[in-house]
Amino acid sequence: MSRLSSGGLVDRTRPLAFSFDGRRYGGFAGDTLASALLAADVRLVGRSFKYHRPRGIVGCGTEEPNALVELRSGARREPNARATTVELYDGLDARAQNAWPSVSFDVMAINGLFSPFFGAAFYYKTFMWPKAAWEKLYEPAIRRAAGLGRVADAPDPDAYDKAHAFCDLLVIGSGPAGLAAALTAGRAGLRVILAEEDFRFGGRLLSEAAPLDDAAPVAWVERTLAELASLPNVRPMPRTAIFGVYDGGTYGALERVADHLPIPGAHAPRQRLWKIVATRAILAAGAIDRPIVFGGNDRPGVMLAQAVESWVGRYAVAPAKALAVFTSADAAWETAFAAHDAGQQIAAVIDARAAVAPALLEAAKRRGLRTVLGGEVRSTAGKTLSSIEVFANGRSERLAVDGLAMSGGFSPNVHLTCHHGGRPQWNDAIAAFVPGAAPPGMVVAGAAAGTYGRSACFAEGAAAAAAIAADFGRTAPAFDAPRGVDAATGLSAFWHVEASKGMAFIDFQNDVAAKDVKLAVKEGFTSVEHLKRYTTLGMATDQGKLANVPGLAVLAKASGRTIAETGTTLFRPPWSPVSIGALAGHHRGRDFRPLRLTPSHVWAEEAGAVFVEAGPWLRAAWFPAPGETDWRVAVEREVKATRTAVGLIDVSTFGKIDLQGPDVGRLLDRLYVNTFSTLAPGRVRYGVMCREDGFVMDDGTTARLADDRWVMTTTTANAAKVAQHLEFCLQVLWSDLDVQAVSVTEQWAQISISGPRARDTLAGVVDDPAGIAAEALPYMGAVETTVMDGVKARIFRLSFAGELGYEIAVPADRGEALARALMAAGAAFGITPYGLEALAVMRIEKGHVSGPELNGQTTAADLGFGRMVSQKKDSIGRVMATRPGLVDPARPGFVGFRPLDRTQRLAAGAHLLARGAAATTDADLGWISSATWSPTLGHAVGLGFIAGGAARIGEVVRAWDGLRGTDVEVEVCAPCFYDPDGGRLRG
Amino acid sequence: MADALSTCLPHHPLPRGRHGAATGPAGICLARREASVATLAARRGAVAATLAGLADLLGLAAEDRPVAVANDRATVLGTAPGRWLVVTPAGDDPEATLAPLAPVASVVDQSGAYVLFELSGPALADLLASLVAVDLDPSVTPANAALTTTVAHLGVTLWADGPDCCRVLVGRSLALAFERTIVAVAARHGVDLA
Repeated sequence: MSRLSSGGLVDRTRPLAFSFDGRRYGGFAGDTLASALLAADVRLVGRSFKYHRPRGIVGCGTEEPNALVELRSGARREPNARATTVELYDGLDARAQNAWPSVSFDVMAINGLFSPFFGAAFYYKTFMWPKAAWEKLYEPAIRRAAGLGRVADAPDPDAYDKAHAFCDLLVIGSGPAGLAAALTAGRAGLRVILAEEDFRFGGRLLSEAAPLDDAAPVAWVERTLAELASLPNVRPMPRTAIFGVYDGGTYGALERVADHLPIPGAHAPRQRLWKIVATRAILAAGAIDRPIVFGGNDRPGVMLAQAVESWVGRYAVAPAKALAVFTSADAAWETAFAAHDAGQQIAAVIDARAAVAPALLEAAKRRGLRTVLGGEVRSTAGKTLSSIEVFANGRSERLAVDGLAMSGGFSPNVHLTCHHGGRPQWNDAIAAFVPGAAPPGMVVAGAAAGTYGRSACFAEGAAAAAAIAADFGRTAPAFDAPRGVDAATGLSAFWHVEASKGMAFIDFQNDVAAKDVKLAVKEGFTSVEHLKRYTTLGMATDQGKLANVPGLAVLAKASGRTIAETGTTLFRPPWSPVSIGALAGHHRGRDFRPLRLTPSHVWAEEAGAVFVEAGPWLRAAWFPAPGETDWRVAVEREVKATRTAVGLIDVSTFGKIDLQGPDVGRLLDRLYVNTFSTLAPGRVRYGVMCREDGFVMDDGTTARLADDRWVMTTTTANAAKVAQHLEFCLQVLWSDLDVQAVSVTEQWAQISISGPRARDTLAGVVDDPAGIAAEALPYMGAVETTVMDGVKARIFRLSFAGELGYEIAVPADRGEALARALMAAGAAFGITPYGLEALAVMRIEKGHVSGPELNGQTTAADLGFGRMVSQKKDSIGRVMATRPGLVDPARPGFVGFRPLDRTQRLAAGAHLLARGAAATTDADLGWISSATWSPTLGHAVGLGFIAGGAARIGEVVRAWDGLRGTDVEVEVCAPCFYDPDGGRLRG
Repeated sequence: MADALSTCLPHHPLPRGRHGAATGPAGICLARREASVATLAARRGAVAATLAGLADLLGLAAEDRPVAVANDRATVLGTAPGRWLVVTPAGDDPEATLAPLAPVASVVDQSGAYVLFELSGPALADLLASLVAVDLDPSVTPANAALTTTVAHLGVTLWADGPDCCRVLVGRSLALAFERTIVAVAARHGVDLA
């Protein structure tokens, strides 16, 4: 056991049991998995990504690149959890990943022997030939060998929540600067959210030994938290990582609600995704210690000095029996002193600098610590660290240590400042990137801004908050900073031990070594952006939190530039990994998106409908009769019944827009290519609507119910788009028009009945049958009436199926009753419900255009509506539709197709080729957009577009379908295959 | 995920009664209420005349902003500039009721279009924080606000109706999806589906 006998912030009265790789261990409440493993002397926790090298714990927080473990098992298995951020709980079960058969003996470690050959872009260069083997052989094999954890292979049983929060000031991070900011703003009365990724507030104050107000820093932290908790305008949010900065002061945050529990409480979420809208923000996210690149720096036992400070100070763990320190920064000396004072044996402090502040040497001497100036660690040895080779003063020496704390200075956590494109600036004085332009509303304070002294951090956080409070017109009382002595913060840049022996790693998580960066530079990848993609430096779960700056330093030196000249890549969201489950919330599985039900849904389900999702709607696809197992049989029956008797379908999903006002006619004339202002009350007209660029946007019918009241129908797919288009036209283009457009898609259930017995059926539900007589309600007529004993209704005489037909609209809450009433009224006539499939068959038989033809690339002329376009008025798209390319006679035009051999089938997607032509793009004459087997005609029919259009009617071409392997000779014909004169519609 | 949601298809009605956390009183109650609804849209330049007409007709001082103004005859919800939803008792024919406004406004019956829900319970504030991307702090959003917004991808209009209680108008085709949303999101509070 390496647990120190006293100190730390773990609760020794609350022991917790956990297992790692099947072995049982103990820890305390307040431990992370990493601190508990170190306390149990577990040093080897994983294998590296590419070489499967043994790896240990490097950091102490979200920056951890090595100690990635699988948590839990079964459906709750979670890969790539950073042991340094996993809060220990009783019963925690974790395993090392990317190792077989065990983390101690991993057969894939043989990769390490070939490491001299595995340079940058090894895979790209090596697995080039044969090309086909990449997908089938190389990639699967590489993915098996190189990888991270395994996702659970069962659905996640836990719930994920989403929530919104709003504040005047969001404080990100709760170290000295963050707590000073939150307290100052809270006291000034601002609405404050204090977000802390850790499970405990305090940041580095939880680990530091130097007293505040003559007591351990945690005492001041606790007092501050107590005051913050007493302020109703302050909301402290622990376990909450701000992962992204978005537009309008919106911050993405992930709250780990129940990750610290064996399983979440009943119905409680595991995690919650927050959208926090903050008028202002203070980024006080601190800084992370930086590794030094030297031979064997990835060996378990080599860790960041900042992490050692936490193991000792916060978790009361001595991470090694004998620990050396290798640094070029004063802070690591302070860590060595604190660790020594807590009981950790310090073998030596090795500093790359030739000279350091006398006070440091004096403090070391006072403690009896050995110091080595102008020294460097060139190599390490042991499966877990057993010794280091130190070179100083012209000679090498091997020190027997099992721990090495390294620090090349700090990297401020500037990540969130980059999310709006802010580029960090290089600061030579602290050898680090500091924030450039921050997102609007954000300021940076404390170590995140490159300010390292503790009292300066307090002052900077408080000042930033006071300034923001002033912007809100509030006065913040002066911040009463705690008394304390600042630690030394001097440092000089030191990145890479050039005389390293063995692999010297820059990016532990991606196994990118110094030699890889140098090779990339030799091969011309000198831009930081190219370097990142070529070597994978800075990718994966840690996103280069440790590797980026040392990598840039090696790049800069190898390419003869300064770091300021090389620049840096930008950080994108997320700051730390976010589970997909949290992003989805409850929108998953069957609830992936809201489902819209038609008014007659309950009836349709009782009638045995098979449903299909049509956009957000669930619609009946067909209604199988008892014994029918083939959907095509059902569809054929439905079509025949409609053509010979009467069929019924719910068409409520069409968009419907109520239009009122004196200027509706003028509006419609501008929206549609054809004229509507002349339409008489009680009449319906088909219209085609274009976009500004001259291509067709939508089609549908509009009825004039009264002089100043109309109702427009759109396609189901374009309902929202057309409504939006109308609003745009009325608000932006023609605000002088007095028109009120109101969506009534939800208001009206609309049931269509078609077939020779449609009128007989309708007569059974209308209260005034005379009103629907052929003369009273002719084809394309509309009437407002009542059905089912007084229910308000609108009846439109039209049919998409091409028969005598009516669409009957009633308020949506009466839609189901109407469907039942019509089925009862039509029973004597053989009424048959039909679904979308039969509707599609009948519209193709009639040659009506639909989604496959209204594809955004066709003009009214292409679709055969050229003569509909009124030249007596202007309409949206009219001018642009006359562009030379759109009036080219060779443009594909809308026609029909039928196979010469009537037994052949046609399929949408087939390309049209001349007889004898090769199947090449150059020879392509057009395509079949819709095709079906016509039960009415007894052969296949198709609609589509062919170069030259209707002028080619009568020609024979081939419908070549490379996907299905068919090649069918077809005759080009008019698109309407059924009742071309429309006699049945008008009957 | 709440049990009922995993066993009940999204196009089948959820069982009435208790969902989610089963102990203690339900944090959220969701009930359907009956009402008539109409969209009232002022004719061009006639917003003031429409408001004056509403005052004469219904005796309430509706406003041209997103607030709910109510008396025992109607609730008028501002949904857009010059546009309101008028909620009247079930069975009312709103186009007839509001017909006197015809010269200055268009009236569209929407009674079939909307389902009116009552959402109540001690966990309502928490639930709304989950659902609604609007700052409901009293310093920002007045107590009589009428919010026309989205809830889990569903378009809604909602307004407060007393403490821990609000009313929500939801498109009829999406009413079941709304119920599923509430049961899923409020599961930890316990939901009583009336």
